[in-house]
Amino acid sequence: MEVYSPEGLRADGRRWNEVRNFKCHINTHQNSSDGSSYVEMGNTKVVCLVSGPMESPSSGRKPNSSSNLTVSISMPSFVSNSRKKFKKNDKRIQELCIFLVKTFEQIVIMKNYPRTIISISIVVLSQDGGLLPSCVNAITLALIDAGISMYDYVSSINVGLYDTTPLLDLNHLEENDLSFLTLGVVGKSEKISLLLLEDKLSLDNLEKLLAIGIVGCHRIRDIMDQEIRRHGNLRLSKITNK
Amino acid sequence: MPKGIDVSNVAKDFELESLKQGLRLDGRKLNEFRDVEINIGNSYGSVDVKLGKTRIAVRISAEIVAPFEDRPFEGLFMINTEISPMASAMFESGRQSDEEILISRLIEKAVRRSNALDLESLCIIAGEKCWSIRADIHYLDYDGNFADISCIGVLCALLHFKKPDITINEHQEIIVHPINERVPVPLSILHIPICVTFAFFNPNDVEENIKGDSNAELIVVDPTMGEELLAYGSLTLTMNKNRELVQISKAGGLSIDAMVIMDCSNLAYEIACRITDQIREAIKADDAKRAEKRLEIRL
Amino acid sequence: MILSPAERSYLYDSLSVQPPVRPDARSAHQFRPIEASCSFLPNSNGSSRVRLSDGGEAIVSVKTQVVLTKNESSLISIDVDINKERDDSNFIKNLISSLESILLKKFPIEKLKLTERYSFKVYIDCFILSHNSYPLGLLSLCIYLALKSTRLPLLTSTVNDREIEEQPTFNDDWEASKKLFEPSEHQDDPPLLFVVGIIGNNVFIDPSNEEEEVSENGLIVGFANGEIVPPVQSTNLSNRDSKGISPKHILKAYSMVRNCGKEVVKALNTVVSSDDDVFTSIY
Repeated sequence: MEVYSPEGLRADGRRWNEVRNFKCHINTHQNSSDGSSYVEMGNTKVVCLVSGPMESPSSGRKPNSSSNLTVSISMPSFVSNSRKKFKKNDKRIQELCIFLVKTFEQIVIMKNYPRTIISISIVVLSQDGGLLPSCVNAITLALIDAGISMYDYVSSINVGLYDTTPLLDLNHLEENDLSFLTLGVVGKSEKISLLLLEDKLSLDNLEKLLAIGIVGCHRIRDIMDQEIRRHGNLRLSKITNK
Repeated sequence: MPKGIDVSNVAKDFELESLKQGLRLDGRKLNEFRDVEINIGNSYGSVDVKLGKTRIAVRISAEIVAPFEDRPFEGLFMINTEISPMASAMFESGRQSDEEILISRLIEKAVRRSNALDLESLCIIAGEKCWSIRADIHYLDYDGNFADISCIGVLCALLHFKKPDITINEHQEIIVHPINERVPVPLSILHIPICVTFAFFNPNDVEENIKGDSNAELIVVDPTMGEELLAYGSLTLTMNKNRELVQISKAGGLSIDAMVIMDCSNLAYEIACRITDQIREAIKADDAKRAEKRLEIRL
Repeated sequence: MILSPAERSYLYDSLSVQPPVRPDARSAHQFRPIEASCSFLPNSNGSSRVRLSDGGEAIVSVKTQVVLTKNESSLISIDVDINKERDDSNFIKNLISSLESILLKKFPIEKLKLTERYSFKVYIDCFILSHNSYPLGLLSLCIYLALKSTRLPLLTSTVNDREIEEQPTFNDDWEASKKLFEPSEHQDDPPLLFVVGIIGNNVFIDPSNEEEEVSENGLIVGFANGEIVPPVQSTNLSNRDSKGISPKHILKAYSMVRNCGKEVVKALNTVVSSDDDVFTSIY
């Protein structure tokens, strides 16, 4: 199956600038966490649970003036097409966790929560490309649900290059074949918080991909914003109707 | 925050003020890369690199093993990037800190994943025997920017290393010829990726950076340890002379406008070209020296 | 969970009277409300998710692989992973051994046979996102739903391949797949495990976290096709020393499980038949 047909259609019927089915819900786990979210980008499904701000378990550590953020990602063995058990200290997963911590340390207003920890736990249910973008989007939503102050949204998407055509929001098969960028953009601005490229890409194509990636991120941000407002209105109506 | 090294607020303010005026503590300009000093050792594949006060030693070794079952036509290549406390008290032996994991993954992506070393050329008998090349990076001294120096060191050592010549006789046995009997064979390096790291500083406060429109963030090339500790984030670009970006890694930190990233990549390209030429010259000089020595011995 | 002496004494006393007064006003044979859905993982043959009212949540995925029958010691493999816990803890090993002891015996292996030489191997992977009470009951319900919603691809090559050396081939059309457990054949349903708490003379089913903490003992009872099946094992639900179990506790537990079991199976079967074949969004 070819990645991009001459008529302009990809293997799953999308055009080059179409994002996969993006579904998100917040406050999905009221009883087991302070904030939670569920994000689906196509067939990649991710649950995010946020606990905090809470007291640091190792109170012996020296007090610091800002909070401590930790991220952990669990990938059960059924996430991808072939069953594969992931070791708990797999380097790639640890690298993703570090990326996420560094991204959100700048966006969360850490000085509001001194001497506490915020613990973010991500459970991947199904992996079909775009794992890092889904995690970033899920964490943004879960932090908002937990009521943790943040400067702005961080929305994320990946964009790849097929020959000279950029393709937005790649699935697993496309990720294996093409070189792609993962972008994380802050709010409605054009400022990039997270940028990751793992395969070769010609320098002349970078600008094009960044531009399209930023537009894609803005689109995702709008969908997330819509969902947050809908949920907020729902909760408000439940309180005022009493 | 690395363990044990805390920077006082006075030092932080001083550093930021000088950067706002375009001055760095070691006298460089904001977009200046430190001088790279490459010392090639006596044995093949042993290289010492200095980047200012940061020093590493890289050693390449090779052995013949069986290839992986699912890749019978490829050899094996692994890079060991364990940092010991010898480099700095910040690093613990045994447990890998966040910084170590990031550096390890960075080198993996820049050198291994980008296929700088052609693995198919390491195959001897498909499915049975292949070369396994191992690069050990010993971190001797830390003054910032282990990522860039590791990449330069590994590439230099790989370019310098020569594996012993082999012949396969009629019984499918491999005969390895010692170096003094037959001229050893260099490795097949497809391209030379060079990492360039940028560190960011915020002269205004966080809100201005995120909500504001001005792009007043300060970008510094090749941070020293002091600059790394105070920076609010970093960006590592790996490029080769073919104008190809091998990898980009911006793990959070200060948010940077896309145009600024384009400027950084253009700067990184210039630096990468310069260092690639420097590496090639060093290898050529060493080759010439060895040829001279061989001539002297024969005469 | 830490209970003060006053709380402990209140819970113990209220659970020891006849009939037991449970803190959430349930009767002795009533389960906690659950939220359940099936078939939402696109990469698995069958999947299910069950969430309890106290926040405990489990997700089970069933994946199958075609294997040479003679090379495999067991055609069913069960694995449990609890979020944020080590893989090799004793807690997890105990859960797996309880599940294996009933599933390996009471699973209709003939359904997995493909041809003379090949069969399906079933991998049941359980993932517990969070749990407050002992998760065995939750897991068992989830596994039941996942197995009942599992679909297997339709075999198109020949069944009798003792002479012919060919690998089995399947129909590409997923609509042609058939369910592992047909909804009409109720005599062959997957088994269930129920957790029963024991205090004084009373037994009560599906104990919550507080009830477990004050219980004197607990029983794990297997149930399949309308009858009690092994394993029946005692388990200490609280962190304190347990008291002995008398035969009348066991008989009470049996009759309770026999009565509730049928209702539970009926309820779970409606869940399976209601969301059929659609990879739905689960929240």
